[in-house]
Amino acid sequence: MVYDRLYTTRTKRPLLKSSILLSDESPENLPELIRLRKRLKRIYELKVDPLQDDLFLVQIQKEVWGKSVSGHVIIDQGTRGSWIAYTDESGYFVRRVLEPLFNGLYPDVARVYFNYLQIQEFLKAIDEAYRGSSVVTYVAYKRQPRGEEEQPIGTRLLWEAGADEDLKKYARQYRLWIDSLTFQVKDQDGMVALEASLTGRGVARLRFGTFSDFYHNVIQLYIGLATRWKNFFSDRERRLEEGKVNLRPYLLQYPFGLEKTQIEDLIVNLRGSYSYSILFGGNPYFAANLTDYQDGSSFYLTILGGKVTITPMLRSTPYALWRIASRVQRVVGEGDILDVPRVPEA
Amino acid sequence: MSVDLARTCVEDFRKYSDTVTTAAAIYHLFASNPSIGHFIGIEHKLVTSNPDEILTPDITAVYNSDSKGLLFELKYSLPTEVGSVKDELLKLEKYSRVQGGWRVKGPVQSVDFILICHIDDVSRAVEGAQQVFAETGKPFYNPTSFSIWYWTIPSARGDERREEMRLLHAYGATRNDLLQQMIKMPGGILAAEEVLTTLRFTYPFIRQKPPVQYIIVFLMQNVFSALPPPSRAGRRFYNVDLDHIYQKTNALFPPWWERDVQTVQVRRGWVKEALDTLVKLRLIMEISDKPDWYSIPIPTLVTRKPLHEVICRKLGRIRRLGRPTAPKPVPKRRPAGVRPLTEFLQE
Repeated sequence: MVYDRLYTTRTKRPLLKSSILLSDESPENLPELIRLRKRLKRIYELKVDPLQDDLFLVQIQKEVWGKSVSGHVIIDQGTRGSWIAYTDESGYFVRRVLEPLFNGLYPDVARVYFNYLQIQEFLKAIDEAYRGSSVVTYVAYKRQPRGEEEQPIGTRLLWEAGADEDLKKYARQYRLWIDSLTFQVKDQDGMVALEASLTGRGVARLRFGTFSDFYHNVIQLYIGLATRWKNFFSDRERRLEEGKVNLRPYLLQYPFGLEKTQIEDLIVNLRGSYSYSILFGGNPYFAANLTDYQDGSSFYLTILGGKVTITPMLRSTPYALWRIASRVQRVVGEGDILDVPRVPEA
Repeated sequence: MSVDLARTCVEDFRKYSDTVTTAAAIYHLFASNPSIGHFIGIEHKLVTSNPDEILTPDITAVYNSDSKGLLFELKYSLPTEVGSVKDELLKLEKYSRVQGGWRVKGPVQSVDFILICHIDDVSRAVEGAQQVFAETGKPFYNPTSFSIWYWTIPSARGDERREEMRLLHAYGATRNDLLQQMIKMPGGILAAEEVLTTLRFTYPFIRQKPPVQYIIVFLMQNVFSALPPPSRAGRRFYNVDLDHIYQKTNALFPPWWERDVQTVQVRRGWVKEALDTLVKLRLIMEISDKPDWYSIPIPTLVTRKPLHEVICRKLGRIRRLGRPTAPKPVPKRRPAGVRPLTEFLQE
């Protein structure tokens, strides 16, 4: 249990990073999944060795600007339908090698995306897990006043107890994008028991604390949250049941109406990854049919007032529906993801 | 010329899509306001005294304790000549022969008819209806029971008001007083928000044949993409037959269409026409020696431009090339006996 205490002393070492991913594939198939993708095949070299108990050691090497960057990752496939990739390599390795690899493996391996409202659910669970201790949150975010067209510059920080309350207030005035959320759990004596951080792209980092604490109180909760949201995006295809069409749309709700410039930005942002046809072109009511090039999922997207509604069609995987929600939020700011209530039948 | 063809092609694509939305708006109007009447169905089968004749208006409803009928017909496009519009209107007279099939207890004593068209076509439709009634005097076209509506989605200006879809009155009336009052109000009938956000996607088709570009884009985006098993990287070719594609597409047509052999043939024809056009556009290939089999690359077309615009540009190009070219002008020959000017100079 030596590794359990690796992060209980304050030494200069790269943080332990863990990426939560969704996949029904086995990590053993990684070389084959890469072989199917021309772009990845050219720049990545991989070796997978099975360890014990659903663990796999993956050695990855990639050419970055003509230089070879390599590192190790341990993938845990213990929870059905998801992978947890652990590494204590540098942040550079994660940003330049690991994350592009996982992005490129879509849709066989899908990343998870959380906005601030979703991460708040997680914080509530942390509060409950550490009842009696104080939890201090530290939020790095970007914000943009509504009506401003330029992309926001610089990241703002909130570092105080109850930072999330301030963010709720800002969400009404600004469009927000959360970069990361760090939290520190202090026991009754004021000693730090756990210091960890989360990003909206499903990466949890351990800065200080025991691995078992981190695993049970952060990773497991994070997987629980990911599974819950995967279920939210599942089984939404258009269905014909007893002669009636059953649509299961969901929406992103904003406290303000979306503007024409944002709709234009959205199209620019989506056009590389989706085939699209515009049924109504943004007055600013907007309706379009989108197809995910990689996964084949298709859906209609409408923007009306402060609502972005996504209505899935014949094929719509949870990964694709989660991904489009994230892509929309990346452009127009973080919104509340909700089910659309059923409309009355005539 | 090809630019004009492409522009008209895109306009028709949008008009058809808006017409589908209008059908959803009417459906929702009855669903949320039962006092107006009782919605019977989309393309519900009605019978006449001729046992071989079955009529299926776009939308059927009844009102006044199910004793009166209301039929709606939607046209995404009407001819550009008033004369041709009149021909279209004369075809609607068949609905005056409706005698039964309403699926209500008592008899339906009278029937009102409402034609809904695009704002671009409405003045011609009104002119045509007036002329038809004046020329034929047929009671079906009497403006007390025959009316024309149109739809509009006006732009929102600043914070003045939000974007919305409205149905507006253009001509005639219906004897359904409540409905007539609603449509005659200054803003007409406002379509509910859920019509614009979700309900319009319930059935992507109405009974009128869509323009070929509409089916092509629909197939490429929603049907072809669902052909291969999920989670496959890269572009691949899939060999499929017309029936398989039709079966997939069929799930998007209203379910009752399947029961009618003739309708199945018609819808299958739409899909076949779209596939054959895609072959002409060289986006998919026919498989030799196997009739009605196609080899379809998926994704079929990767582009950063709107798919309907790309398809319309391609269609414009083949339509322009396919048109018979003007015959070469006959070389001008000097009529016999006429001397060239140069001869006079030499004299």
